[in-house]
Amino acid sequence: MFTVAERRAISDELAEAAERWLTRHRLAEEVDGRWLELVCEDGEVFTPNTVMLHLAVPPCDVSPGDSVDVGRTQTVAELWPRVDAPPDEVPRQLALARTFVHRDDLWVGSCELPGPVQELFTVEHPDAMLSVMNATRRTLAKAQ
Amino acid sequence: MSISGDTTGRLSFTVIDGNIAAWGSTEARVREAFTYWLGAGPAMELARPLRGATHAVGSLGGRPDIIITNDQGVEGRCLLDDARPTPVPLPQDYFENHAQGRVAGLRIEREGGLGREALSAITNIRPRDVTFTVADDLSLAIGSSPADANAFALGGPGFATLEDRRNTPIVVPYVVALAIHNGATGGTVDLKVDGRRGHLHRADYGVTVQWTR
Repeated sequence: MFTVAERRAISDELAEAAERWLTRHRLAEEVDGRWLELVCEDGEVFTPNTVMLHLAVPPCDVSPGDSVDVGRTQTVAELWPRVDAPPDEVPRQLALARTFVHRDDLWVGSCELPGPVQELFTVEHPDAMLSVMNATRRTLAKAQ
Repeated sequence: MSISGDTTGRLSFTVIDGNIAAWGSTEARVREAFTYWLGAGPAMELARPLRGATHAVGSLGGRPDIIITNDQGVEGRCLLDDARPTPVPLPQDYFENHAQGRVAGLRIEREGGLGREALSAITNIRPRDVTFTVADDLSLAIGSSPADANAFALGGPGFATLEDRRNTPIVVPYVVALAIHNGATGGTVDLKVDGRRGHLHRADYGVTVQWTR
């Protein structure tokens, strides 16, 4: 998956929501109250000179389905923010982006979620699993 | 919430709230035993590929996370949480042979459950313990203490006590009282307590709740 977004369209609220999401999922951390460090797939630390999300949301001119060369060719799957996006929505693909490449005025983030490393279980009745999972969770739910 | 599998073919979910634990299980093919912890809220990401699917595979991902993929390629992911001590289920004969103090029991088997007024009575007691008492006329009183003059009374039938002992108050944590109400809506609920421990089983989904005082 691949995500490109326009900086001009991003509100502070949206950027803050994305920062909170990244921090909660331990993909980035606040440094000096402003910077975020992003740990890349290869283990190197990506340290942009401004808030990472601002780097990730440049002016750009691409559309879903376009091919973009970020060291390898990837297809644009989603633009952010969507016109009808809720104000606090943060697309997973962008929030999970692990690699950012600067080309001209374009910063692009690529995201390849790590695939399965070990099969754990197989269920032939997923609805039954869902029912038990929900019932177990709700059994100790205080807010009813 | 934890998700664990054992090679006898059970996939189990455990939720912990302080000294109260609830677990339920379903059938699955499990390659080797495992237990992983997930945030109860984020774990709902795993629900999406389960809805309407005919087959699903659960895997450990590299982030590390749990990934569930269904037969249509829909995928749900949830990051692993910090591991916690897993509660040990009481022995099946605990209340018969190992109980501490006198054992009290209550079975609720009432069409339609306890109803909204009973739920309101329980939530009004929040966050204190809730007392259930079956009276001589086999009605169920729900109050804030054994001596609660304003206890809510719900007419029977549908309530039975261990050895038919009536007017014996059974005090449970507030969360357990909610679980009793929740479980009674879908089927039979069995409750047993002694001086130290409590055990609840809701038959509708086979979920067990266990706690210590």
